[in-house]
Amino acid sequence: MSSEFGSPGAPAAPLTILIVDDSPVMRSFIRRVVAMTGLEATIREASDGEGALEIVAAEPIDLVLSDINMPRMNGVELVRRLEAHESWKRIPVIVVSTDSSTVRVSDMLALGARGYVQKPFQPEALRAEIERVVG
Amino acid sequence: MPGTLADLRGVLAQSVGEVLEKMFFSEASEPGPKDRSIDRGICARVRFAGSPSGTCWLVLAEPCARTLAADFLGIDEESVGAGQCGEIVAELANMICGSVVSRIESESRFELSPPGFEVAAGPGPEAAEVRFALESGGLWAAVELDAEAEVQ
Repeated sequence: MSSEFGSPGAPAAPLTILIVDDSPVMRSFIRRVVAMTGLEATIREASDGEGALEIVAAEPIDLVLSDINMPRMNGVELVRRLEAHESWKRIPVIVVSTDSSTVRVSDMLALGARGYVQKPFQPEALRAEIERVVG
Repeated sequence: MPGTLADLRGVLAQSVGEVLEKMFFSEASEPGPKDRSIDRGICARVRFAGSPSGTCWLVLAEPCARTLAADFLGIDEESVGAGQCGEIVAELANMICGSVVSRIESESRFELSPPGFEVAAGPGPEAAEVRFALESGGLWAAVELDAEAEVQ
């Protein structure tokens, strides 16, 4: 699953962003938010952590936006696997989840996630977090 | 933890309003007594496990689900498929449930089940319910805490 978009004023180096969520409509929504940032980006999509790891193994990924509650492999295990890998641990992960308990947020940041956005979120909140993490 | 059923209803109403406003730029108002648009609506159910555990239900009138899906996906209503209407109700239920649980207890871990469309076991008399009218139809939501955590 992929799509591409960009804007004339965006930085020259395109990013490859991986969206991981078991909800197709949520993936579409996040794709729209990414487009709003003006970043020149290629989007990859996976419906769970296992699918995400297959994509990460196959091509360079610059940013992962991941849900937590997913079938097969959840976002907690995905972050754990990325952090345990010599090459993949450099990939920043922003968690996008309905779970906003303080312990969950601190757990995920301690595991290595670089950001956390709680659903429901205003598009501007996710956009700001993406821009903060990718600099 | 809400002390009464009215408190839990207030939490649910706040959560529904927050999700609609933030993700759908939509406002909800209390419906009149004759709003029957949800009678044949799309239903979703989400279980949450933690402290406390319980169940959230959501029913959305089909035209309303179509409008919200179109807004969410940035497409025309005519382009929204039946599957996408179901997916948007499931995602809405998921977010409302997450918001409710976060308001009830923000210091504990909890797990949400994937939203399901099997709602044969509806809420019991101890559930908190809210009904809202959206632009193109009605919304009904309920939350019920498991027995050991039931409110008064």
